[in-house]
Amino acid sequence: MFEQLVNIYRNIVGNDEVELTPKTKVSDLMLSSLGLIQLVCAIEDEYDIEITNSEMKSFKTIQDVVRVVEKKLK
Amino acid sequence: MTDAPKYEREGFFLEFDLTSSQLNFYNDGLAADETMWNHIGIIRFNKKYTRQELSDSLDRLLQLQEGLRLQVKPTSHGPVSFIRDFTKREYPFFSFSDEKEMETRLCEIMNRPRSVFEELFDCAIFELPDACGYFANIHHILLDGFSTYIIAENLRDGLLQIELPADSVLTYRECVENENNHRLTKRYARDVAFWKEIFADRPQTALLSAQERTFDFSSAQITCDIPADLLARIRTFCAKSDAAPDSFFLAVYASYFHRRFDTNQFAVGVPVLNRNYGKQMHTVGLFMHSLPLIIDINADISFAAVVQSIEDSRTNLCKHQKFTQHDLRQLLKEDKVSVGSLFDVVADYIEFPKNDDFELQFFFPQTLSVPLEIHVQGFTDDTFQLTLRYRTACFDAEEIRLMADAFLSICAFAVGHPDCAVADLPLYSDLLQERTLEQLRVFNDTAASYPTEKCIHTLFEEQAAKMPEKTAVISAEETLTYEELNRRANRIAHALIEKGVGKGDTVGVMLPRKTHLLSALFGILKTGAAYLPISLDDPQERIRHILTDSKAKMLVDEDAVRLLLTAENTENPHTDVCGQDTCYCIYTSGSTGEPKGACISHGSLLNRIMWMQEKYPLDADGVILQKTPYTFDVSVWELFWWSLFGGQLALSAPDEHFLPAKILEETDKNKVTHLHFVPSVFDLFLTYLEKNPQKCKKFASVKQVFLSGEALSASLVNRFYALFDYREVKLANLYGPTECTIDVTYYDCAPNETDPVPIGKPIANTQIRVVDEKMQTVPVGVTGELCIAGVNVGQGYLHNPVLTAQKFVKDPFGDGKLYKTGDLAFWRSDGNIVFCGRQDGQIKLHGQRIEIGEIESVIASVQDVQSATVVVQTHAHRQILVAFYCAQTECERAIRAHCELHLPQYMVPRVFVRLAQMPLNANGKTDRKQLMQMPVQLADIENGAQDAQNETERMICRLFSEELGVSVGRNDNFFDCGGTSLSMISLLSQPYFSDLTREDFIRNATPMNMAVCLQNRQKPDYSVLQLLQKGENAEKAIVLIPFAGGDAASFAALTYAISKRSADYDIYYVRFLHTEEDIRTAAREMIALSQKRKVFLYSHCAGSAVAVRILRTLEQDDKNAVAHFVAGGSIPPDKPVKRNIWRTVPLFAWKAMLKKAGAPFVALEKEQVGDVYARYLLDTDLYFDTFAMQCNKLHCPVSLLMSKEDVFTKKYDSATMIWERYFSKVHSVRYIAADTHYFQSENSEETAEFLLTVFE
Repeated sequence: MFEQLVNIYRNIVGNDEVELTPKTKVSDLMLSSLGLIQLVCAIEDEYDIEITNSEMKSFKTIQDVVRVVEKKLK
Repeated sequence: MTDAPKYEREGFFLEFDLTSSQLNFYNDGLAADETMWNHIGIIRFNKKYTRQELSDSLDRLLQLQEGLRLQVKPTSHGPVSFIRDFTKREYPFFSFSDEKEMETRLCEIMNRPRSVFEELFDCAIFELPDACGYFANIHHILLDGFSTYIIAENLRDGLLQIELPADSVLTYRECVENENNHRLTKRYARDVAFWKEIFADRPQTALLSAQERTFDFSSAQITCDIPADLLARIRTFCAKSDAAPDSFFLAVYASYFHRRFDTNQFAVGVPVLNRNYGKQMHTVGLFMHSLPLIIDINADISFAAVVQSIEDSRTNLCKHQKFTQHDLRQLLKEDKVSVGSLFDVVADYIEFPKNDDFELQFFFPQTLSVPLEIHVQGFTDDTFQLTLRYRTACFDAEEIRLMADAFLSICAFAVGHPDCAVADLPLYSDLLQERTLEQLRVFNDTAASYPTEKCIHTLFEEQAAKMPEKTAVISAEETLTYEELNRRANRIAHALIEKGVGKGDTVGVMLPRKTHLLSALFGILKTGAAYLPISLDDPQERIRHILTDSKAKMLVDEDAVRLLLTAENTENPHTDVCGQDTCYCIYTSGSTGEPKGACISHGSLLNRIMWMQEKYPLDADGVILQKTPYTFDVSVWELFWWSLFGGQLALSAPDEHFLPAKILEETDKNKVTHLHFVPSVFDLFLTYLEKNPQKCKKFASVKQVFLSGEALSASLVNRFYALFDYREVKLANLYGPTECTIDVTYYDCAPNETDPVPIGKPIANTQIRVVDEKMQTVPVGVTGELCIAGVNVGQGYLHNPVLTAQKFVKDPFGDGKLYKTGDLAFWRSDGNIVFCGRQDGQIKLHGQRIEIGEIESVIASVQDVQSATVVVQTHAHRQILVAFYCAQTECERAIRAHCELHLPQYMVPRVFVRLAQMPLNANGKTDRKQLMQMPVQLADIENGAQDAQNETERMICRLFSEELGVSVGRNDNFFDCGGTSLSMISLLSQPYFSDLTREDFIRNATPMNMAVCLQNRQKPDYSVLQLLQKGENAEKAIVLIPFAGGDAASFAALTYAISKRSADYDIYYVRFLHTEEDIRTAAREMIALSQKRKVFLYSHCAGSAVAVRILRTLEQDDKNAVAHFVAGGSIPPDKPVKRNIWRTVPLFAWKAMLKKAGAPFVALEKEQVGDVYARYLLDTDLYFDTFAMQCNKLHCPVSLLMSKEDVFTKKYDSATMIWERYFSKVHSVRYIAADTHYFQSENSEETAEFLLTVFE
C-alpha cells in the first residue's frame, strides 16, 4: 500500500528523487493545499473510495494516509 | 485512455480542437474584431538590460511556451487551433523618458481590435531611464491570469540566464489532451454526482434580480490597499482555524452580501486553477475557470463558522474543479433545473511568490462578463490590493466604495472577534463613520429661528388688526375679510370657552369646505383646544370610534356652528396657550387595524409654516387654493399659511378637488398662486392639459406647485415642464408623515429630472437620520430607515402611550425624540434624500420575495403606459399578482412581453387590467385597497387547457391549474407557473400521476411532455416510437420524423390538425436517429406496429434520411410494413456530398439562414440555440451520409410535399427525378401554400389534408 501511494504521489509531482518513508510528514511532501487535494482525488479514484475533508486534514504522515485507505478498503 | 489520434498533421502544423473554455469564449463572439479580449500587462525590471538581452529572453519564452504560439483558424468543421513553429522575431522597441507617457502611448499602440484568427501574442520591449521591461498584449484565448505570472518568471529566468530543466514543463498540447480526456476518467463520474447533488435543491444562486443584471457590460473599478499588518493578522487567523485566506475573504464578502442584499443563500464564482499539480503549474495556457460556490449564511452564526463552512465547500469544489462551466450548464439543463445566472459575483485571492526582480501591472478591459469581480492580489509579505471591478449599469461608484470600505472593516474586526455573529460585524470603518457623521452634521444643519411664544391664531389676529379690510377667504357662497373672519372666530371661541372648552381639550370638527370651517378652526384654536377633523364621508362606526378614542370635548358640525356664532363677544379671547400645546390631531389609518390620532403642537406647526414662508414667500397677493380634504395634513398649511402673511384663501368646491377642469377654473377665477397636488391627481391634471393645451393659460397665476403624499416620478415633472415655463412656475416635492407636522423634507424640481426624484433636504430645525436595524447611522448612499428628529416631530398618538413609545423613541444622536417612519431612504452625497419605498413594501408570493415596486416600475417603463399599480389578489384561496395600468390603448401584450423580459416568471402578474384611471382614496392617493378588491376576469382554469390536444393533456392542464391556481397551457412549465417541490409531491400522490416518478415529473414538466411520458409509462410497448396522440377508432398509424434540430414539439400543430380531421390515426413520433442500432429498433417496432395498424410515414426535411434508413432496413425484413411515405420539404443532394456543408457555416450565419427559412429558433435563449445548433449539425451529418450511399431503389410508395417559397427546395422541378434515384416511383407531388421551410407548422392544415388524402 505504501509503495502504491508513493507511486501515485510521484505521478502527480513528477519527482522521484526524494526518499520517502511511512514516517515522512505530509507537510514535507512540498504539496500546496491544491496539490494535496489532487493527491486525495487520485487516491479516491484509484481505490474507488471517498476521503472526507476532515480525514484529509488529519493526515500528518504518509502512514496516516495508508491507515485511512486500508480501513476503507476493508 | 487515448482512443483516437489527437492531432492530425497538416502542412507544418499540428491541429487540434479548442478546449471547452476556449469554445465558450468563441461562442461569446470571440471571432469578432474586439479589444475586450485583450489582456494587457507590463512586466518591469528595475535594472537595466540590453535590448538584445530582453529580446533573447522573449525568444526563449516563446520557444518554451508553445501555448503562446497558438493560432486559431476556421475550418469546415468549426474552429481549430494549431501551434506555429518557433521562429525568431523582431520585437518593437520603445524608449521613454517618463513612466506615465509610456503607459498611455503603449496602450494606444498596442490595444488594437483584433479577431481570434490573427496573431494572438503581441509584445514590445521598453526602456526607461532606470528600468526596462515588456509590454504585452495577449489574447485571452491564450492564457489565464495565472499564466501571466509564469510568463514574468520565465522572462526573468531568461534574463538571469537560469537554465530550466527541459522536462519540467508540460507542453500545452499535453495539457489540452489531459483536459479533453477528463470526460473518460473516474473523476468525471464523481464530478457529475457532486454537481448534481449541489444543485438538487435548486439553490438560490443570484444576488441581483434579472432586471438589475442588464445587458450593458461596461465596467469600472476601484483599488485599495490591504495593509500588510492586517494581512498578517488574517494569515494568523487562517493558520489557527486551518483555513485558506481565500475562505476568509469569501466569508467577509458573504457576511456583507447577507447584510446588504438580505439573502441567506447565493453563489460566488470561484476561479479554480484547473491545472494538474506539478508540471502543469508552469505551463502557459487558458485552463482556469470559475465555478459556483454556494454559500449558506445567516445572521446568528459566528464569522469563524462561516469561514469553516466555506473552507469545506471550497475543498469540495477543488476536488471537482475539472468540471467546466459548460459541463455544468449542460448538466443543469439536462436536469431541467433553471439557473438564470450561475453567479453574479466572482471573487479570487491570488498570492504571488515574493520577488525583488520584477513588477507586474495589469490593465483590465473596460467590460465585464459578470456584474461584479472582487480580486485580492499581492506578493507574499507585502501589501495586497483589493480591487473591485463592477458593471456600471449594476452598481454606482459610491456603492462600490462603500463595499470596499465594508470589506476592510469586516476584515479588521473579524480577525480579532472570530466568534462575532454575522449580524454584528461592523459594515463601516471607523474612518467612514466619522466622515458620515461630519457629512450629516452639515446636511442636518437646519437651525433657524421662529417665534416660540406665538401661535397660529395670535399671528392671524395681528394680521386682522393690521389689514382688517383685506379679503381673507373666498368660497362659492361668500367672501370674508380678515376682520369678518376674526370676529366670527372670536364668537365661536367665546361660545366654546363658555361651554368649558380650553387648553388640553380636543374638539371634533365635521364641516363642509365653506367659510364656516375657517371660522370654526380659528375659533377652536383661540380657546387653546386642539381641533380634530372628521370626514363627512366616514362611516358612522369610524366616526364613533374616533370621537370615543379622542375623548373629544365636543363635535362642531354645521348645526353647532350656527349656534356658536350667536355668541356676542367678538373680541380676541385671552388664553395662555403656548407652543407646547396641541394644535391639531389627525387620525390616520394604521397598517395594523384601528386608526390612531397623531397630535401636533402649535410650536411644530409654526416652525413648519415659517419655514415654508421663508422658502416659498407668499405676500399679500398670494392666494392658496384649499382643495385637500382637511383629514389629510397637507390641508393644514393650506388652511393657515396665508393668514399669517396677509394672503388669501380660495376654498375649492367640496367633492370637486380631483377634477382637472374644476381646479383650472378655480385657479383662474381666484388668481391662485400656490397649490398642492398628490402625484396621482397631478397625473390626471397633466393628462387633461395635454389633451386641452389651450387651458394652460388658466394656470397662469400659479407661481408654486407643491407635490407630496406619494412618490413623485420624473416623468410627471418633465411633462409639467413641457407645458409650462420653468421661470414662471416651480415644482417642489415635499415629504413627511402626518406624525411629524406635514412635511420634513423638500426638493425643488429642475425642469429635467431623472428618476428617482429625491425627497430633498430637511426643513428648518429638522434632522433626518437614516439608520440600520440597530439604529446605527448608515453612510451616505446606503439605504436604511428614515427617522426624523427636531421641532417637527409630533407629540405622539392621542391616548396611546404604547404605540407612541414604539414609534417615537429617544433620539440616540440628540436630546429630543426620534420618529421612526418605516420608510426606506438614503442620502445622496449632495445632501438630498432619496425615498425607496416602505420597509413593509415587500410581499411573499409562492414563497418568493417580491418587491411590488419593482414590477410596477417595469410596467411603467413600457411605452404608452401612464401609470401602473400591482396588487395581490386572492382567487380560489391562492394569491396572484394583478396589474392595473392606465394607457391610451390596450397594450397587455406589450406589457406582458416586457415583464417576461425583465422579471422572473414568478414576478410577472397573472392578469393585466386596463383602467381609464386609477381609483383614488380620500387623500388622493392610488387606492390599493380598492384595487385589491376589484373583481377581475381571470382566464379561467379551463381556459389554459384550451390548447390541449388530447384528453391526457387536457387532464394534466386541469390538474396543474387546480394545484397552482393559475391557468396552465400545454406548453407551460409547471415550475415556471409557480410550482414548487411541495406542489409537485402533492400532484404525484394523486392516482392520475401514480405511474410517474419524481424524476419523470421534473424532466417532463409541461402538460405536453408529461402526457407523452404518462402514455409511455402506461404502455411501454415501444422504445423509439413515441405515441403523441391516440385516435379514438384508430386502425392506422402515422409516424412522424422531425427535421434537423427538431423535436416532438415541431409536430404539435400538425398532430392537432390531423386529429381534428380524423380519429382513425394513432400518431407516433420518432426522434432523429443516428445509430444503426436505433434505426434497427425503429424498424422492428414499426413491423410490430404494422401488425395492429396500417403504418404511414412522414418526415420533414433532413428527417427523410432517417426515413430512408428505416425503409432500407425494412426492405430486408418486411418490405410492406410501411404503406406509404411522404417526404416533406426535402430533396436529396443532386450529387453525393462527402462533407456536411453546414459544418463550414459559423453559428451566426447558420442562425441567419435558418431564420430566413422561417425557423422558430429566434425566440430561443442563447444557450438553447447552441444546443439546437449542435443537434442540427449531428442530424445533417446523417443526412449527407445517407444520401451519399448507393443502394437499391426502395419500393415503398413515396409522395412529395414542398413549398415553392422554401429556400431549401429551390430545385423543386427536379425533385421527382432526384427522388426516383432512391425510390422506384414517386406517387404524387403537392406544392403547398406556405412561405417557409417549416410549413408543417406554418400550414399544418394543408399538410394534414394532403397526408390524409394520400393515406386514404
